[in-house]
Amino acid sequence: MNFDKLPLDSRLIDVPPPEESGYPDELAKYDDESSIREAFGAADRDFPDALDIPESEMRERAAYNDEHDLWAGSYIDRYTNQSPTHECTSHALRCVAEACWNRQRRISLGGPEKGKRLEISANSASVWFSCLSIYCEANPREWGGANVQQVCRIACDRGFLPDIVQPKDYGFKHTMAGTRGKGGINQSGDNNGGPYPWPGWYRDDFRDHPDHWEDDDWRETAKHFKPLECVYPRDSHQYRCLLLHGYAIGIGRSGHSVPIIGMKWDGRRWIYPYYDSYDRLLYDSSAYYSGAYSILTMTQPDDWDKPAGQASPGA
Amino acid sequence: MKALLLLFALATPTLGQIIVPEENAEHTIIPIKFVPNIPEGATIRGTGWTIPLKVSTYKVADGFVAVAPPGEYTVKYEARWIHLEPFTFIDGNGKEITITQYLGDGEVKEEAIFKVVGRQPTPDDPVPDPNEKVSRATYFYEKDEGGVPPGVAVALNEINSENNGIVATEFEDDNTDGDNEVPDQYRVGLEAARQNGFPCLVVQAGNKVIKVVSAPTKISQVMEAIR
Repeated sequence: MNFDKLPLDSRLIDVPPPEESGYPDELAKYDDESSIREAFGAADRDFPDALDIPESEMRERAAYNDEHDLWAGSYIDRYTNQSPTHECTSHALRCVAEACWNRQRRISLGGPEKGKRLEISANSASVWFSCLSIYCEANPREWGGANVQQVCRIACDRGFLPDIVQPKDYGFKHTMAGTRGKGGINQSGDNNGGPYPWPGWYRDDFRDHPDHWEDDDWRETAKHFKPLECVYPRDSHQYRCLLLHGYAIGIGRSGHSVPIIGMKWDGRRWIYPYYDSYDRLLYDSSAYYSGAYSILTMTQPDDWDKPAGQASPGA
Repeated sequence: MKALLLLFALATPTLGQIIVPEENAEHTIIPIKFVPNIPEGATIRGTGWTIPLKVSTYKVADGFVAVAPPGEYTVKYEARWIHLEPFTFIDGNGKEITITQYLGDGEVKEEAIFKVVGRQPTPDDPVPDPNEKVSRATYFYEKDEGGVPPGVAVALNEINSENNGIVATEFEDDNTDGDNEVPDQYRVGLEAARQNGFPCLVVQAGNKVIKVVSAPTKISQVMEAIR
């Protein structure tokens, strides 16, 4: 992604979600540094001082990232579409996690194109995570949304299940619908294989296990897709440092949660692009958030072609 | 309706020149600078670069960096280009019409000769083990001491995009697999990295460590290590 070369349309800056997306004030008010860091659990880390980049060097570093495809956004190969659900925090989280997964593999995917399956996806180690696998635990009632700390806690504790739709056949034993919303060519949902039933959550387990699972031990699959080290950016300077190092940042603000995946200098200030969970690229005009996190490292597999361990027989 | 609109009668002259040091020491990185004078958006046809087989190259923004054994080499760039652009206007009847406008064309033919000076190989020199084909390059680091240097990140991306059987990745000291253990694929490399000290690039052929480069920061250091 070369954000410097992308023409900037002011109509794409500070755009509210088209509908209630799932980060209402009554949940957002609980998101602060201490609660989010507590939610990271064993994955909680201080911002590493060694990642500091002086403000005076940021434009030069951003230009280098633009030229060489080093932004977090370059390690993402799909949009997701949550409409009309309240799953926004889970969609933002999957983007931050997928950017980390693909960055660790160091295969630049070039950024998503709406309605398109990128050829490189099947030739990389890209794994698509199920937003629903996180959200239905965060809010078993389905409607009403979830806050940042809830989804982070779940991901750090037990990991994501993979989406039913994947860029190639990894032979996963346990997958889950990507969303109860629209989805798309790269996400299972109403527009791709759905509508899928609500899996629910009851007594520390999905209430209804999908019929296609090989067994009920889904945690054995999810444990392979877990954030290991997370950071809460304490201010806009740390926020920019993380982005310049190629980390995505999930944020909750103004009723919606989104993954920030780069920076663009508009001639007088930084603006912050994100892949919105409505199939589009939008921008924030400031580093404002009520809840935020970045995933520095995730689990890595023994073999990139078998990301959840040994593939199923015949897969 | 589409028509060809002739805007320029003559091809634009080409000013770009291949710039390369005439004489280079063995084992040095040779910059081959060349930005063809072709307008952005033009369609390019032709041979492009002709580079001798013995010269290994890595593309950078303004040309290549290269390494080669002792000898004299000629590198060439040949291409033709044409620059067309759609142009839309409203005619007298209010109808929208798009035509293809011709903005120019041209031919680029450049070559340069350079030498690598050094001892010529002899039959007594050791023969490289064909089984020692590089299969893995991993940058091991501890984030509290610094992130992945941008030059290293670019090189790892580039190696993977070449799709030549080398798995180029990064590994942070705290990384584990889903069972909270060091992933199998990193065991050998991580041991070598810990012996060397972080950060470093470990180059492997299968389970054999071929090379460890301490604290690389530049694209060329990584590319040289895997060649």
